[in-house]
Amino acid sequence: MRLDNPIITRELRGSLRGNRAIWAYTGYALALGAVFAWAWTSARPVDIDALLGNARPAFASTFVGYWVTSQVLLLVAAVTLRGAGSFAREREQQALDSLYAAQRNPSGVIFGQVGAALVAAVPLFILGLPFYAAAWLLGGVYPSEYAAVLALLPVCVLLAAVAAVGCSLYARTTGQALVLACGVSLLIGLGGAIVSIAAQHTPTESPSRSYLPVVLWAALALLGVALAWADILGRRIALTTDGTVAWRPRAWWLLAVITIAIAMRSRSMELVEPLVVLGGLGLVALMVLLGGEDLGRTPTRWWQIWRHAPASAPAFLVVLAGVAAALSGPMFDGLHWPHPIPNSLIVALACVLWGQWLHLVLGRQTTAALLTGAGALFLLIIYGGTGAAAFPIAAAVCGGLLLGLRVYTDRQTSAPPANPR
Amino acid sequence: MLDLVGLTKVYGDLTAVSDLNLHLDPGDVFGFIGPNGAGKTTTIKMLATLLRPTAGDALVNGVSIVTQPEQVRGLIGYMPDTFGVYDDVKVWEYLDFFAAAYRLPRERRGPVIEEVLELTDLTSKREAFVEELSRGMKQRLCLAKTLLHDPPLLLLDEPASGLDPRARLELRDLLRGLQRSGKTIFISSHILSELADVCTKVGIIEAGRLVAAGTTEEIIAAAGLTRTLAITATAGLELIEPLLAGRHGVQDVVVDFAAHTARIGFAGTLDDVPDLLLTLLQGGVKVTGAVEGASDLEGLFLRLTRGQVA
Repeated sequence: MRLDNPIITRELRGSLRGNRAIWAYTGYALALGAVFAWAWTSARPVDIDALLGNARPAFASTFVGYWVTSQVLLLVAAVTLRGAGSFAREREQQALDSLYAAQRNPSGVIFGQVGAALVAAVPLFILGLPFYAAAWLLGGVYPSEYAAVLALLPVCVLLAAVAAVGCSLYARTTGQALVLACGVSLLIGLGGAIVSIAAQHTPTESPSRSYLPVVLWAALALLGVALAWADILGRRIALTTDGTVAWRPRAWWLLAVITIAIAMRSRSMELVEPLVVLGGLGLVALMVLLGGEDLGRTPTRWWQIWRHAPASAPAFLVVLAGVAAALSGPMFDGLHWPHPIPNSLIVALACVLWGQWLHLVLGRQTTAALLTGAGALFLLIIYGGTGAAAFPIAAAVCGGLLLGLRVYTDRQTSAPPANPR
Repeated sequence: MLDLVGLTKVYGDLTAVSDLNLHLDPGDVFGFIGPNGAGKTTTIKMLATLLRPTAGDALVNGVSIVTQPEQVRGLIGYMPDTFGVYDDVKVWEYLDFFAAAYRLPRERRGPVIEEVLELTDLTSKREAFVEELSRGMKQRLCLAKTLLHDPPLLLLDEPASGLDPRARLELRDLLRGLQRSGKTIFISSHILSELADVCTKVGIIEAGRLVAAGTTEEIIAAAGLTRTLAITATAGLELIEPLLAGRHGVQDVVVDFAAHTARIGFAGTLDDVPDLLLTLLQGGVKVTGAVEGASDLEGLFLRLTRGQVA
């Protein structure tokens, strides 16, 4: 991401300069203040003499459960409004052609619009900091207690921004984009709110430890989807200008959603974890059938996994399975490493690269997928266990890897899709 | 500078642009003429790398719009027919936005912006908000942004549409200045008079096909068309027809005694005009003015096209 992105600069100069922005910030701060006051007074009567310590735990519960949730919802709403107006508004202003003709990097346009949407959220987040400070000083709610819930905030905001910009890219008018983006963001906001509340009520002896993995799991899952979205948008902008786009969902994106759904289901219904993995492996066949498309004339190298989508589906699943195995099973002594996350990363990278290499070398998606699946099973046998909670971690790792490489390649080798000449 | 090689664009069953072939040299001002729907904007959008050709290619300084669009964008300045400006920014901020989009180094942006502001006569509006500008000024601002990265080729799609006469004259002067500075200009319009005085070459497109291309002379000669000379005279108008009767190349003479003008249609070249005027002066016609009819381009256009759209 270039810091010198003109779209973000214009957003800062234009939208944030006027009086509207000041009034919006004031309204936002007042809304948060109202929720804070309500949380404080509903927890216990205001009693200056009994501030520190005595306010807990009722205030802590209300604060974490409702105040942070309110902030998530407000921030999601803010970035949704800005994001929905990004491409659609420029299209209505008839400014898009000039931008496309000037900007030489498709990723730069996407990042600029998402960044411009996020720019609107930064001051809003900063405005909330005094309330956190107040909660700490007055209510005895320590940052460590809401840190995990707070981790949801940037993820939800990022996801909302990417989704809104995506809706804006596809919608014909700003109104359409707004309706679409609000629908998507509502789900995101509600999801975030539900998870934060659920996390708060996770019954264990040590609350600060128990809800951390749950929230982290949800946050990473959302991040995985957000990054997948970003990848899709990158493709859309690369194919921009005929007004139409032959887009098919990238298999691994769909897979990310399905995986999360399965993982959540396994958690709620306490399914046997190996079944989750086997079920996921069964998705390989489905995913490879979805197909994908080559990005164009630039020669595809085997390690450019994002350029040949069909094969990345099984590889993605292998990553999930491998990471799951690495995280939780009784490890094979020779391969045992007491740190699960680095271990997972190594497994993930190995699986992804292996899957892509097979696809390129063999030239056959199905064969590559089957061999990759076999490799995954081999890893599972070695590691001998699974862990459903690792799925979203893998999603995030893989998504981040794909996105980073994609951005790099966009810069180095950007070329239009094949000319059907 | 610009070579079009079989450039074609097809939308489903509709062939918007068909097999365009063209060559422009550096410094050419090419007027791309055609009725609405003829394929002008589609062609320019392809050259601006905003549309992918269905077939064929175009080379800007030898760089392909199909395989190297990013490099091409650095070589062209594109001004769309319906351009938008961001109303909530100042004039210099608008230019700074595009300068950054064109990846001009930060330290160069300031001087370049000042340069293009001066060139387009907008220096006094530097700190004004874009929404405060008149349409003509916005048009000049849009032209200014296309000049920021100093492209050798300018693609201007209907640049004078919606402008009042004064703004058109200013734009015409601006284009002449750009031509003098060595820019190659590809300009489309369906208002023929606005191109007549500026263009060194003309292309006429109809229904997606290039009907004719070249200098006005070449087109007239190739198509065997008539040139029009508008004469104003204080006396002797009645002598014009007899003096020119039977003269080689003269096809018709229409005299308007009330307006003290005559329109002479002839199939010669520009080199024939002085001889023709000399004949009139020696014959007693008090010629006070002679101008090649502004409607020549219009005449060409009407003779070569049938009013079809793609």
